[in-house]
Amino acid sequence: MITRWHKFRTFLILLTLTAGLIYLLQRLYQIQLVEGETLRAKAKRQHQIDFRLSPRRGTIYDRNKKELAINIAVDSIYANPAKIRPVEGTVRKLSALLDISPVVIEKKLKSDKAFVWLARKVKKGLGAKVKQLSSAGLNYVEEVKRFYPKGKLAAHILGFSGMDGKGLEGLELYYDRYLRGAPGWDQSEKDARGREILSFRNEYSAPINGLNLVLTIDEVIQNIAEQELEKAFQKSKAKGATIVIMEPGTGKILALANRPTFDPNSFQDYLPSQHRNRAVTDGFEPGSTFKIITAAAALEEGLFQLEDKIFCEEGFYRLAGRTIRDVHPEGWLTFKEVVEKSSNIGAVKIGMALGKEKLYRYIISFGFGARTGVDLPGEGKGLVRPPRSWSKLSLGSIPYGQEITVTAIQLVSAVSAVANGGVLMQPRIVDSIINKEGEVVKKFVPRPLRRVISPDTAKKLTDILVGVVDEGTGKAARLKEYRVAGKTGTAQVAGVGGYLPGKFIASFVGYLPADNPQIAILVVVDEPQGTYYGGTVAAPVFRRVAEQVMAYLKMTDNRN
Amino acid sequence: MTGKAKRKGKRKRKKKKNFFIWKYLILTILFFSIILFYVWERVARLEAGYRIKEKVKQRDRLIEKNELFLSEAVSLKAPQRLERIAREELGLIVPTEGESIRRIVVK
Repeated sequence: MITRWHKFRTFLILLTLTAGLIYLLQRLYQIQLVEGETLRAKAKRQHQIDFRLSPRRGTIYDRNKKELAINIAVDSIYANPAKIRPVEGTVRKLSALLDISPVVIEKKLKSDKAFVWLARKVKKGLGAKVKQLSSAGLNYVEEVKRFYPKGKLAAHILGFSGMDGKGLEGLELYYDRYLRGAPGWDQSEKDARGREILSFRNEYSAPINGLNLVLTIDEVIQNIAEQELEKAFQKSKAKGATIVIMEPGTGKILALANRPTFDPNSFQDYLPSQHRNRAVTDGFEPGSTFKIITAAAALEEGLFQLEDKIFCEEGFYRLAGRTIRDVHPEGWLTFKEVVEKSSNIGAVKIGMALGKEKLYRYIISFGFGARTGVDLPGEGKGLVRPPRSWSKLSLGSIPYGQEITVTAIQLVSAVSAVANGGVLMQPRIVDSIINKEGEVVKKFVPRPLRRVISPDTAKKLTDILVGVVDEGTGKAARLKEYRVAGKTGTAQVAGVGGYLPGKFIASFVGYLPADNPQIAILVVVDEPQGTYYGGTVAAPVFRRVAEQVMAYLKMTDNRN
Repeated sequence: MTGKAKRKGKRKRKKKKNFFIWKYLILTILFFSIILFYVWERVARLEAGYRIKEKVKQRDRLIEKNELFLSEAVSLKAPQRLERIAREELGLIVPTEGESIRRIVVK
């Protein structure tokens, strides 16, 4: 018989079961719908691995496959400040270990963030040492750092890459798409100890390492250039200095250096102005070195022969209300002597004989006023105004390199064209791109841009330029063993309202051996203190560099 | 039914029963063997995976070491360092123009 007690018990059981069911449904709702997303993410974090696999950046070699930029493994140390106790003791130990000021570390450890970098890309092994200081709160990740084993050597050519491995300057920036490679992915699961379970791997794609660059630069020639430039820069207390060495027949750049310079391993410690590759970015008035172009145009047009006489007005010449002066006043000079003795008045008269249009045509043809297309970032065009913008005074300035600006790379390319018999070559700094196995992926063959003068004109001009070194203003560049062709330049520095008193740019550009040129060298010294003539400041640098480079080339030729 | 026939029937049932027992036993052993094989195979794969990962780590460490040694070797052979040693420690100089240089060729 069913009593009330039975009914009550049945009701109680049903009530308990219903309450339990309601509770379970509520939890189900809570877990699946309310917290579902968060819990799924938490679970995923606990047992899933999702790594981005960084590729190795390509190596940069010189032309003899000597490494100029490589990669090394480093540690990056981070902290979770909330978990570090006691802060004071840890700060002291970290400061000693990482060689960072305690104030900087303390500031980072007192941050309310859950993640702070303590030191990025430090020496391998430091991470493990730091981790031992505190079991919780301090950790490290392994990363790859770009390393320039030759320090400051070729700094402006190589440039540098940032913390994220992206090229920021120089070749690192220009060829970033080849050097950087492509990242890979690893999506897998891990066990309770954090080890990856390979059999549960969902997706894996290996990183593709970057390609390697082989430059036209020779590190020995680069070193010679840098050492001599540094000496001249220090001695003359100049504001800046540049040297470019080119193979005239191919346009290959063998060395390029600037002062002031920087160490790409610690580029952040230098001013941005020190990172600038002045040889390709900065324009300057070339001064008398530009007489090479004026003379080339006049010879090519057949307006003058080498022995034709030009009256140089005894050093003073009035043109459109302005007086043009020569440092050494001269009367009648032959065309050859005008260049040898670097007469401004003689150059102006040659320019006037050419006229605006023809002179301008040759200036443009020699590559001025346009980028050369050298494979370096930030190349400048220089400044060449069209003849319609020239004033009455322009023909009294441009023939000897005023009222016009050129870049060092443009000037050395133009002179290389004279050296190789009249063909303007595109300057290049990368010879080829190779893969890990050393197979050539892309080869940059020498590229002739156009013929600018005939071989006959080039030969006549070479004779004149040999005369400059043997008899004229460039005697300091003379070598016993080789015939050197070259031209000095001393240009005033233009400022607001005219030329700045006492500020000059001394330069020398030349090539050797004059009969079969192997190298063309340009030396530019910006605002030297004391003596400022191209013939006394830049020409000796040219000689010392040329002497050593030729000895080195002869030695390597013999060896080969 | 005679007693003989009864015994025969009993033996037949017993035989049938034994056959079923053996059959189930074999099937059970087979089943557990498959399970064990499956588990063993999974564990072996897991272990092999750990060993592969360990070897990959070792390889990466060797690559890192190699890079470190390369960086040291290249730094030591830097032309500016060699020149400093040649000039300052060995007292060598760059030969001036026209100066004869004797080369010792070892064959």
